Amino acid sequence: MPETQPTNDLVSLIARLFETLGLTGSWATLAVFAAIVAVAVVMIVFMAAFAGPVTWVERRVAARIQSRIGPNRVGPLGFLQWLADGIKNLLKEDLIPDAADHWLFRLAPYLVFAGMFGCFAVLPFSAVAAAVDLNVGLFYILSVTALVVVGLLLSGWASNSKWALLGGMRAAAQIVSYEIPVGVAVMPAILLAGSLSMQDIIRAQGGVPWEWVIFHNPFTFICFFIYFTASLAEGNRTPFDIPEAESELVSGYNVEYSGFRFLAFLFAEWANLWIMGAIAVTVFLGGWQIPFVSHEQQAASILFNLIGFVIFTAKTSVLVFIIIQLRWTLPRLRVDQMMGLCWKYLVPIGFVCLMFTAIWMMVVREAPLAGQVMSWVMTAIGAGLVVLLFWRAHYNRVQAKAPLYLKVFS
Amino acid sequence: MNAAANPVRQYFANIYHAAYSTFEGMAVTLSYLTRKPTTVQWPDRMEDQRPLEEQLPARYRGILEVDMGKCNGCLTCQRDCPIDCITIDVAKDPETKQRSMTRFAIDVAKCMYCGLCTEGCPNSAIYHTTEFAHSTPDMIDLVLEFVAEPVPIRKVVKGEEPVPAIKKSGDKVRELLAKKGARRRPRSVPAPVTSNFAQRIAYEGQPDIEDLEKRAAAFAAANAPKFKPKPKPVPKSEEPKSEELKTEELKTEGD
Repeated sequence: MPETQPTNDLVSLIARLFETLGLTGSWATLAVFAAIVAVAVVMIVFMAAFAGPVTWVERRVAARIQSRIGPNRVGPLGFLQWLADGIKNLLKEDLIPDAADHWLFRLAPYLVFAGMFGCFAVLPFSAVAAAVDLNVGLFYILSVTALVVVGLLLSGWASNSKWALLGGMRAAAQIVSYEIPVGVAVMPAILLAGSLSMQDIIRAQGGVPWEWVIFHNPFTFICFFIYFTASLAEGNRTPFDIPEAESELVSGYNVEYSGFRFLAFLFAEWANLWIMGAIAVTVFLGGWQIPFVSHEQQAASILFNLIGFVIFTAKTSVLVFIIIQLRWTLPRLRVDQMMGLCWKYLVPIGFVCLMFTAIWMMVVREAPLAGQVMSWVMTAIGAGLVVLLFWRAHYNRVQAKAPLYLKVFS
Repeated sequence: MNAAANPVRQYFANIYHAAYSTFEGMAVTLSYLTRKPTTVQWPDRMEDQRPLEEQLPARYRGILEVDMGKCNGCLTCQRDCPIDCITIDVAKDPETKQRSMTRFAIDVAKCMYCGLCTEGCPNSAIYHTTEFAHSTPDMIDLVLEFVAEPVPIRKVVKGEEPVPAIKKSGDKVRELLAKKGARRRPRSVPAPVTSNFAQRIAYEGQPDIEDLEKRAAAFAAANAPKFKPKPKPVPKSEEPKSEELKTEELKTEGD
């Protein structure tokens, strides 16, 4: 049972290390506090090391989809473009409009950033490498991201600009609406794991695809897509980038920002890509689980932890790539279409899936073999979809009479 | 049953179409990741080492060029041009009655490469080249003068063989641009692959500021208004009576 196990996360590990070293009393408290700060710094560095380069990846992918080449001048293959952009942004004048509400205007980027960064406290990277393994981890993530709404709405209001206000309002309406399908879509996984802890949800799954939540039954399969769509909308990503809508609102809630504050918004937006991918991997795609190795073994060995980290990063990167590709595939939805999608489609279908998952769990308890067979069938369907996607891509290339060109970076 | 008539059917049809079209769209964009990009990085990262001007398709609409040997001064191109970037002056010698063109100028800075002039030309004397690079520190450089000496206009004789089509080389454009001192890269010399800014400046050359100022002054003198516009008759009443008057004044000022 999860309750009896000692919690395996970075902060408690460091605390135990200090106990064994013989630190006691206020020194131990201070040491644990220092450990928390150190873990936070590591996380923020990871966030920066992800959010920066992924902007370059996105621009390269976007360019290739549009038959361009993309940034290739700064550093090898243009890889250092993100540093150049960051430095450029830092050197910009930090403007605050005269008519803006100065206090709130300054506060807003920090709230957005804090909301996103707060998620990293419970995101697991391997069997041990999670900052804290909260027993309400998933619930914590759903609620801490609500801070982002406050930040976006504040930035829109405090800018005292029509575009920013409209953008902020749209962002608030959109994120609050899509909290519901996100919450409903992860619920089947909570049912299956019997826990809200991120690590417990991963431990309840296995290393091979037919042990993942997504392939447990058809309803969790649908729930994965509901979660994916809704998290796109929560992250203001295309096709749900209505709060930013360049063609209508210039840039939406962040239109009056410049310099470092603008950078904070962008930083949070890109870091959110990792969060979206990591939650989907944790909840639906088996997290850091290594095939055919039990999770007790994985928690005990440093090597297994490293392999788990690589597996987790690889899965998340694939999802991030799909998110990026979607952005350059789909056009932006209208506001009413976006709301219709949420309330008419995602929420009711999500509830139906939740109910049928519960029923299916009862069926599996009576007939475990049916559950096994269903998992295999769903895995086959999932694999078939991926193969079909690649086959269609191949077909499109052949139809266009374009020769195969696999040089990804040029 | 019609799908639109049945809301339940419509509901599931919507879901199907959303999923299907997203899937197909993903396949299309994925296929682009396995294709070669069409964009060429000019000037220093081209796989093909030939000048880009030679690689461009023949129908590329670059800088306009005029073959003065074919032009018969009919002014069709001048009239066709929607933004009046072509200026042709025709003069007649009072003694010999020989008509000749004294000026044929194309303002490349104004030209929007619509190609209407080339379509109207009865002799195909004006045409697009594949030349495109004409960055210059001074916009005056971009007025290309195709007539240096007055060109006698060729009479069209009935039954005469048409002038053979000339090669659309762009030599004349290059010559004119070079004469004007436009900061162009010579066509045959590939650009140095360097990230050194100083080297690039040395290669491309610094604009001569004194010369620029001199030329700008000359241009301003040449284009100074010859006569002053008549002062507007002052309305009898001191204040404009209606909104109409105000707008009228504004309009004339704008002109």
